[in-house]
Amino acid sequence: MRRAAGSVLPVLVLMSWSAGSALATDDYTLPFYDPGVALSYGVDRDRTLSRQLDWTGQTWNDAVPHPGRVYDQHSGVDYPMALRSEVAAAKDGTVVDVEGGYGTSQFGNFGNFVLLKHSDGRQTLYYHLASAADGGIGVAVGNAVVAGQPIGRSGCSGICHGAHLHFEMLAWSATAKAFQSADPLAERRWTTWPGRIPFSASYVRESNPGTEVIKRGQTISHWVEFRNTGGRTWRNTGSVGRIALGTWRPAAHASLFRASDWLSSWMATFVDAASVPPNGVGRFTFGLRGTPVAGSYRETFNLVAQSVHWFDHARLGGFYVPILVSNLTP
Amino acid sequence: MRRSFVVHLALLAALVAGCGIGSGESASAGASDPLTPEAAASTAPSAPERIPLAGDFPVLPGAVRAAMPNDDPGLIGLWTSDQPGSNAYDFFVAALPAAGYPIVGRYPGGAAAVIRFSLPNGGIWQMVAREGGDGALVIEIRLDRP
Repeated sequence: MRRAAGSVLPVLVLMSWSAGSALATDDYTLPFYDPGVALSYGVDRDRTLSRQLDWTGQTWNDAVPHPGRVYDQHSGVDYPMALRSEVAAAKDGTVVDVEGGYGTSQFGNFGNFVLLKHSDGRQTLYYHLASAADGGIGVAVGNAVVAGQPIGRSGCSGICHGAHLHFEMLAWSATAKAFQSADPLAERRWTTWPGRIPFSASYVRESNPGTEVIKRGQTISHWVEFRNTGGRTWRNTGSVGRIALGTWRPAAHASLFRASDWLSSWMATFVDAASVPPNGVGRFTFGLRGTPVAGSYRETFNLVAQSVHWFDHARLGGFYVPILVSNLTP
Repeated sequence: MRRSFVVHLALLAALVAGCGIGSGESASAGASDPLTPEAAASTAPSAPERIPLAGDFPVLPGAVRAAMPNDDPGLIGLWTSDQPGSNAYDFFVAALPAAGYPIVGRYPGGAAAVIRFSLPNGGIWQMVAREGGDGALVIEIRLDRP
């Protein structure tokens, strides 16, 4: 098959959870784009010294770190990330605080971070980021961000033992009159369980998996379907984050095969349906117009969350359409 | 702020007191640092018999051997260092495979990090780097555990 279906790499949070309670619709997604990242440590839900309650509900009566579970007094969720990896907003929100003045790997009591507030009243903290000078901070206080939007790059600033992202969810406590650490894993705050990267897809099928033969100047209709393997619902509304099919290699190049129904020189179409939830299949229908010059071509496409992020093209099976433009005219 | 980790008080007390096996010894990069049962027994009669570290086992440059508590039989080696925690983690990520100990799991974190690695005989050990209460870095080699 010329377009192998993109394999769905597991997001390794290393826990099979019984499919019981319903998951929130478009709640939080994992705050990064590397699908191979595995959980390092979760929140310690028991703040007693030398007693730990991990996100699976297991208690440890000690102070030693338990890989993949928890370490004592930990207030967030740690994900190993190579230095300067992309960090993304876990949910739509507004930037309320940033710090980027510390070195990317500067060890000490303080480090670089981005703090967002969200419409549900919660806040999310992205900590240990690279320095602002090193591209670690991609937003400013007051900026509105959407889920999946890159907001910075990972580092190892602050109290840090190996490059990673400390993702922390904070919920307001009326009792304490302060924001306190919440556990997104135990509370199952992810839209999908055990959590997925924001935008991802795999190839399913298309109207013609072989070569499209088009006469010079003729327009034919083509459709392709992708499965939503990310954590966000695909939407065909609004502007920012709307899911579209665009040209690739290079990204957003003007296509020779642009038909009259294209949205621009490089954007073929939005997803057909109004919305496609995680695990759903979305179809993209668009025209292909034969070039004035006959010959054998290929056009490569990728999905994009408009103004937010291009999808991983490899996980789409390297999708392209072989096109043979014949000398005949319509 | 987000980097809370509890000091193992008993261990800390031993470290501060400077007592026990090998205190003050400084290891050099890649230097032989065998920890034999005989050596342990000669200086700490009540200590449990320890699994020896191979002579070529990698040691963080500048790390100082620390006394090992008797109530932790899973502990194989213990050092302190004034280096940042990320240095230890990065050192062992590179040094363990180079010394013939393939890494089977990496768990970097804020106040602690664990690297799980395999032995030639197929066993699994852990390198644990964590923040000591006095700001010193504590490095442990220990038997694998959940």
